[in-house]
Amino acid sequence: MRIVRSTCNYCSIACNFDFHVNENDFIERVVPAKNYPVNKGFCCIKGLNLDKQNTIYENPVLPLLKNKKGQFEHISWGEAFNIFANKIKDIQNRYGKESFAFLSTGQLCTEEMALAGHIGRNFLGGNGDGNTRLCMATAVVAYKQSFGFDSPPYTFEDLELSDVAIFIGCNPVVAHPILWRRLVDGRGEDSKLIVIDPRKSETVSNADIWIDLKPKSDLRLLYTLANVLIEKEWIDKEFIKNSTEDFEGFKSHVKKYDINDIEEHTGISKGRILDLAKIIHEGKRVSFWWTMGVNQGYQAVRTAQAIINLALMTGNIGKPGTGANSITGQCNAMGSRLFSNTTGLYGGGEYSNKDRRKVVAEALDIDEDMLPKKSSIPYDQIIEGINKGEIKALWVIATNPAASFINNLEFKKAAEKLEFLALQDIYSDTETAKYAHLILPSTNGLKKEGVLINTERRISKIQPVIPKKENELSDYDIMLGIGEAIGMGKLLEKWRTPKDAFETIRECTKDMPCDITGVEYDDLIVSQGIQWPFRKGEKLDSKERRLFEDKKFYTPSKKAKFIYEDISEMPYEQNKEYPYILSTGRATAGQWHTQTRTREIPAVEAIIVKEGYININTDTAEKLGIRENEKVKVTAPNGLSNNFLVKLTRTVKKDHVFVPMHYIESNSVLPSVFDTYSREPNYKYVPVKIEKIN
Amino acid sequence: MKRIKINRKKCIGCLTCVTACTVAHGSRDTRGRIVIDSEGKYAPIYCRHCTRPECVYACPTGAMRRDDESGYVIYDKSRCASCFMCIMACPYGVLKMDYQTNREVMKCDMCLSTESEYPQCVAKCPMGALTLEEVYR
Repeated sequence: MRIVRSTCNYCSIACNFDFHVNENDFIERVVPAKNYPVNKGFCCIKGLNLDKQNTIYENPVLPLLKNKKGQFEHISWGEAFNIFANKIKDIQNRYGKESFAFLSTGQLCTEEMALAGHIGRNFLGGNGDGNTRLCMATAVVAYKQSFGFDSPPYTFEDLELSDVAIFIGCNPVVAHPILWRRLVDGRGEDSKLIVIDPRKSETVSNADIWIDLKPKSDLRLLYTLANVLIEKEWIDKEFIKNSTEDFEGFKSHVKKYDINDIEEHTGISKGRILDLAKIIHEGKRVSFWWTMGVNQGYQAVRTAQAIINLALMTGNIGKPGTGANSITGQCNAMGSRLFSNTTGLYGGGEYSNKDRRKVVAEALDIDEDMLPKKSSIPYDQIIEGINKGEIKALWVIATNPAASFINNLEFKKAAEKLEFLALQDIYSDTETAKYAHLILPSTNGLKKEGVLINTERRISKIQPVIPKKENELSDYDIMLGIGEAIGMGKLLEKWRTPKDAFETIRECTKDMPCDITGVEYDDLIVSQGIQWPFRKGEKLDSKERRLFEDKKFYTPSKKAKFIYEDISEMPYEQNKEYPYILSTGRATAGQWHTQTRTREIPAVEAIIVKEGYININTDTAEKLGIRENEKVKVTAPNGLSNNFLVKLTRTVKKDHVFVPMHYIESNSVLPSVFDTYSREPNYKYVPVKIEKIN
Repeated sequence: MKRIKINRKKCIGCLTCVTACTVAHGSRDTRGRIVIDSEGKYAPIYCRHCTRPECVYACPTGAMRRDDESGYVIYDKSRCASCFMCIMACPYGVLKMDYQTNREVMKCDMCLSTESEYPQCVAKCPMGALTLEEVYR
């Protein structure tokens, strides 16, 4: 029996586990690591069942090519790489470099997404984005603009040290169970937990105070709250003066949001806003946490920045138990944000930054001209580009856009239009796989190596737990094979192994906020993980480190910026014809994304609903004559509609409905609406009508 | 004696109880589970440590016995013949055999064999759906 320490590659907490493997390479036990500072000996049902991956739904070892009859046939890896290379070269020769694009994910190891960016962006010159666009792009843009760098400032200990923790559009009981456990186990007896959410979520049920605002009235509530804090002078003037910019502009902006109007707009009374302001004022260590309720909106970046502004103006940042803290979704969203080479250079920096281009080109040992000149077009524009006939070839890596994209019918249309769709995944039967011309089956996380960067910036190691079968390839192996087939030759010299890749991209971080030049790849094995930054020569003095303790930010002036704008109109209005506001979100802790992976967990499969469903308020349903487990037709103002199973609840208000995101039906009724700055989809506010199906 | 009380209305199907049970027992199989009823509602199933335990009555070897002092139904692996009469007799369907050897009965011991000596399904349930309540024997 051997014990292998590795990292869970589901959510952004990235727990560590000890896998007990017998002499037949069978995993007998999956034990959450007690001495790992993140999960401290506990985990959720997903991590506990990592050993089940590809046991029920096995992935073939060899690639699959669709023949003229539309059937898949096995081919050798060599053939697959050559077909991939020839197709891309041919399409690029005919239509130009940008006729190729790729869609990647926050589910890959850092080295893999970096290599995909090297192939797809540096060498092939195409566009590339990730499913992180559907999830974290808002937080990225908000932090970049406000702090000068994409820098979630916190460490998990801040949850425990906070005496006022405010969760906004955030349901950790379901989405981040281990983060929730840390809060419950560590919080002080007198601490207050406040949840701002239109839905009575599982986290709301555990809160001291529920701010039950109307859907997407969050920006008004946050601006009004800021105005109250300013008027009452419950702000940290010294911090504002020394460490921030444009407070006066923000002050005059929020004056427009009169507390006397607040109840009409948000459903929250003036008295409750005043109480909330007082709690923030009296709190010694106030922390603000947000996730998708904020990120997946149509004015999302400004909403996230309204949260950041509250932390800045009250001086609740850079100190234990504080922060404006975005909780990431996927295990390596943070790695994707820094090292995917899609919206910025490896390790950060705009593509126009000459100094950074030089550093990165030297680290990669390539001509600077080879680096992209501009950011990739975002996810939605890639799909739009396909539908316009501008993009002809797409490489989809470890994601399932046929189910997960906001308007998945648009993706389907695009997929059918493509001349070449290559899918690389640990499953060959996903909704997206149906449209693929070539399937490149990869191994799951139990058979590969690399690093993940979790939501608190902690780098941890994925180790091979069991060996690969003959001919079985990891995502990294497949990418190397593609790179060689397309003729990258010497350009792959610094990328021969995941360790090479890590060391290459590590060099790109020198003197950046995410400087990890002090991190040795092999030292990460069975370690406590290391939060960035960790510069060469530094000594690790703590297992938990937060940013901005020196009150200096990453902007040129070293000051954080107050960023704000007027509240925009709703893209689709709630009216008599479309009286219900639909939002989507996580259903249960055991379900992940489009369920391709969690369908292999028997305990989860035993209890989940097997088709797309909608939560409707019990009273509303009674009024409409709808009963539990009946089907209804849900229609959005753009004409999209689908049928959903009804599950009655009192966790949504009478004019609000909730649809779990895991089902293909869910994203078949959402119009293509995006945040202006982050291009993250609006999954949280769609007026709909509901009709009983007779 | 104390029993695990289940409030089905509070259960959110997060399976933290199943995780906690498994982890507490060295990441072997869970001793409890969640199922859904005919209406699709969650129904956590945990050993009731019955006052009149059918599993004990059915056991031919004495591996399953009721402890007079604590009131708990205790399983002694060393005496078990793996006949699984207990599994067939349990009116709640909570008993199962272990996944790997198919020889051992996965039986709730109220976590008395574990480091915490307190039912971890109760300790870790985020919704308070499982509680430990004093009951008359």
